[in-house]
Amino acid sequence: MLLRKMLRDMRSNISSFISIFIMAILASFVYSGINAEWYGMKTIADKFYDESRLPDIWLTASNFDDDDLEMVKALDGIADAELRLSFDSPVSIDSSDSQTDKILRINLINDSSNLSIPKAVDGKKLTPEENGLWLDKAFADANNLKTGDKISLQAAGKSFPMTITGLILHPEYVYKALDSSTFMPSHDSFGFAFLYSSPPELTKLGTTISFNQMLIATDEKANLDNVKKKLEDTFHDRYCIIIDRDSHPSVSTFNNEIEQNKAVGGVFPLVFFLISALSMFTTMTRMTNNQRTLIGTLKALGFSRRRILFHYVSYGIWLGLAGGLVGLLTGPLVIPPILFTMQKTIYILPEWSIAISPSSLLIVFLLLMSCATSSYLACRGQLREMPAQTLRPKAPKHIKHNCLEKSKLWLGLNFSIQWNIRDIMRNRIRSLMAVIGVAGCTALLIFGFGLRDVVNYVSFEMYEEINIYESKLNLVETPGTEAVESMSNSLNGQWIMEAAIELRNGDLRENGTLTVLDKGDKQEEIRFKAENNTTISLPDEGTAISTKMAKLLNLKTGDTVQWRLYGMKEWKSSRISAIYRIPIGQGLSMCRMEYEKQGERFAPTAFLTSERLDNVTKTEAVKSIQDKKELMDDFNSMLESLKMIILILVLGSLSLGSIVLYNLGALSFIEKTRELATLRVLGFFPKQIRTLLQLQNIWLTILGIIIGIPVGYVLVSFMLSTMPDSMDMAASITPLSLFLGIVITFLISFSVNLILSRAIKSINMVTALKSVE
Amino acid sequence: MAFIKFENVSKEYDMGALKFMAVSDISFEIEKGEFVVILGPSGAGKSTILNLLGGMDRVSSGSIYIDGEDISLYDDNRLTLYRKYAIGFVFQFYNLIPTLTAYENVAICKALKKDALDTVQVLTMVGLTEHKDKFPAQLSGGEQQRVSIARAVCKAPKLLLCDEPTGALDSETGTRILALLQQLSREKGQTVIVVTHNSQMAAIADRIIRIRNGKISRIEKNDSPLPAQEVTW
Repeated sequence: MLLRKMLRDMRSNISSFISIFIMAILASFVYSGINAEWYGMKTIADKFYDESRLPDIWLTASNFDDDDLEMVKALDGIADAELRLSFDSPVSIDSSDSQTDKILRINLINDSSNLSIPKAVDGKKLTPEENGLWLDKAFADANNLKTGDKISLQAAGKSFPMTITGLILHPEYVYKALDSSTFMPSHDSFGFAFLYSSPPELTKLGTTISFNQMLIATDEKANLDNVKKKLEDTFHDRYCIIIDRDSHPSVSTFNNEIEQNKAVGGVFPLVFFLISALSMFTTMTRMTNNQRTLIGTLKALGFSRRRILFHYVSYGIWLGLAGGLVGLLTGPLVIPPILFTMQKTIYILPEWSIAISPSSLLIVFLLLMSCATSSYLACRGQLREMPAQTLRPKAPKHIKHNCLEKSKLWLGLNFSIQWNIRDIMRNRIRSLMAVIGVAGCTALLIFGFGLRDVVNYVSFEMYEEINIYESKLNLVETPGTEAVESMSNSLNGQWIMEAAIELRNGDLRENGTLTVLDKGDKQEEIRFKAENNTTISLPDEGTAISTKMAKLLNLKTGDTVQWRLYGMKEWKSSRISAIYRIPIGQGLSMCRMEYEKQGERFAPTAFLTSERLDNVTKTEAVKSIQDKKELMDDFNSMLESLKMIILILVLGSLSLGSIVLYNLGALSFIEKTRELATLRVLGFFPKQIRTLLQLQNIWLTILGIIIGIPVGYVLVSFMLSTMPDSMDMAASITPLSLFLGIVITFLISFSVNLILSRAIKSINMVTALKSVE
Repeated sequence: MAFIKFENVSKEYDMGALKFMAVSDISFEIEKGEFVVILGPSGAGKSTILNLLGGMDRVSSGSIYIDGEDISLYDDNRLTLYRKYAIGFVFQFYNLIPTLTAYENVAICKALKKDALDTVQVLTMVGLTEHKDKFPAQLSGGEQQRVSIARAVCKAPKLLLCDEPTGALDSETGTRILALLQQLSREKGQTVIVVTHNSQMAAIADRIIRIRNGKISRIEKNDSPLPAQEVTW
């Protein structure tokens, strides 16, 4: 019977309960949606890693032989190990075309290979009996290649035609990028391929194959750090890089993405969560106040206090449960597909499906609990009184004069201002809720538009301010001196050397990029930016360090940083003479002279030029050419996929703002029907009453916006703080985004006011004459 | 012409299939400065007359002249202006704004009408100077009704319209409220109309209009009304 009462109560307070319901849905919708997305991705990646036996450790050196392999296998804690040759090769997909800027990372594996197994998705299964090459599916798709097509590897000035035996996915290439300066993978120009080392035709590639990678799977129980230490000891006398899963570029980038989604998915539902709990509290407070005599009657009838309490708490339980479940069912269906379209442009997984983690169920439970707790807190007070007390009307709430009223200023205030200030003071929680809702609305809007600004600004910084060159000609690993000289003669530009380095300051260690710059022929092709956005020149002496790296290593100008090329033993020390900011790729930059002073040889890896390359024939020395426009396009494609996310955020904030404000307006309208009718009888015009009611709405909107703006900035900064260490993006929010955030919030407030003001016409003056209920 | 004149006023409520005649063809006159009681049992049509007089509803037929103007021809806007300038309304349940103090409740009139009387002066007149900074919830029923009267009088209305002003009060307090209304009529020449079902109030009025079944059953003129204090309720 009480259940029926609850349903009727809900029907008579439909707008409040619907808004609580919607907020609960949104909280669970956003949470479980984002959760299903990243948890699904993680589950699939983990399964993929497992099935394909992704190694735990990768060793890279110039040469590994079977003795090395046996030595490693004999170590404690090693379950399996095998050798592989991996190198980058230019590839032409059309045999007539010897010019190409496409690169394939070729992996030669042993017949017995049993680690890091590619997953064949088209054509023949991987087996040593088949000749030919298994090609990266994404690369094949981007270049319209199919199983059976021929491609030509370019090596040592010769062309080696190969047949595509099958298309594959690979766990080490969930995320693939040529180097650390590119952020978005370009499937069209960079791919990978696997071949068995045994087929006779391969001998054509080189006389002997010397393996340069060792893949190691550790025992499940083995301590990774111990194993790494042992490996370090084993290969202490040569150039050898040890990488574990956490620092593998593909694995770590993907893990970062998951962490980022996790963080975002945890923070965003908060505001909806908060609003649903607060609305529950205000609605239940009002309802139990109205049903005071009824509560007394129920008590007088003999219902126990606990039973009545449970009755009111059950409103919260049902609403929280229903909203949570609806969100749980719809969120994972709606949000992941939208996010997946963006993720698919960056990551390659065998499949894209959602997975519901237990924490999604937890959020339903939390919603239920918070709504139930809110209703408990709201009606606890009512139930404490004796039945006889509750049957009488409630003793009026004592209103205190606030300090503002004691001042002279108060008397000078307009009646509607006095009325509204008192009303806000009297309904603090409701007003607080409105402010939180509006602030959340503005913050979400600014966050959404801010995300776009951040990506735009990174693109602007990277490609307009810092890298001002037009093309980057990446050199092969050992370009001939002649080829280098001929390039120097035919083009104006600048030689640079990019290398992966380790950096340290005391106990702090980081990985980064080293950029060594030669003098530019005409101009410097890379500019450096100080933190205050001015252009600085690279110091002649000492090294420059990127802002984020300096922060990570706790260094400042004048300090000394230690660094070494990846795989080298000896640490070099450089004095920091400048700090520059760069959004992608943290590390050191120094001029050639300084580098050579360290006793290192300047071995350029790329040539930067601002000249048109139309009539420059590509020489053997050039591995690939990166056009700035291409890089920018790749980057900007991320903006496209951001649009859907921005749309979700805008829709979320619209519903948040409008529901909260409508609820506020509707509640105060319902409660004040009698007052408003009285004012009408006294001779107030409908327009005056509208102004009276809207004033509060406008105040709270303005307050909410004022609070929401910094919160929006904080959200953007928070989002950026979840970015990997190699990124240093500025929370650059344009005035336009700020403006849009504010204007849209005002528009919501305005339209809600418009809807509410219609109700004013319906005020019946006779209500004022009726008795108080 | 009389100060207030009802001329063949009828009011019909259309309730779907049913048509209900609340008042039919009533005519009466009230002179300026009179203390009038409109008397009748519930359902007789008192409230309708009150609504029509107060500019809260329109006649179905007939005319209502207030100080020479036919308000039955007014549109919504003019009616609001009429309520604003000509009418002071005293409610049975006071209808004060709970979030405003006694003083502020009266000062509302200033927001409506620039030339409203001085708030403090009016509060002194109703005997509430001490309580002016209290909120309605902190005042007794009688005190609240005084605030309500002060709010109505403050506008210096042509007509003070009271709907069962003592209906929610005990008899002693009620007497004091009636005495106050009577005093306003005597001393300030304020036209006061009290609508009530309490027939004992007839004794204090200058004119009594009795209503029954939507028609006027009798209009009496009382040449020697008793002071409110002398009537026992």
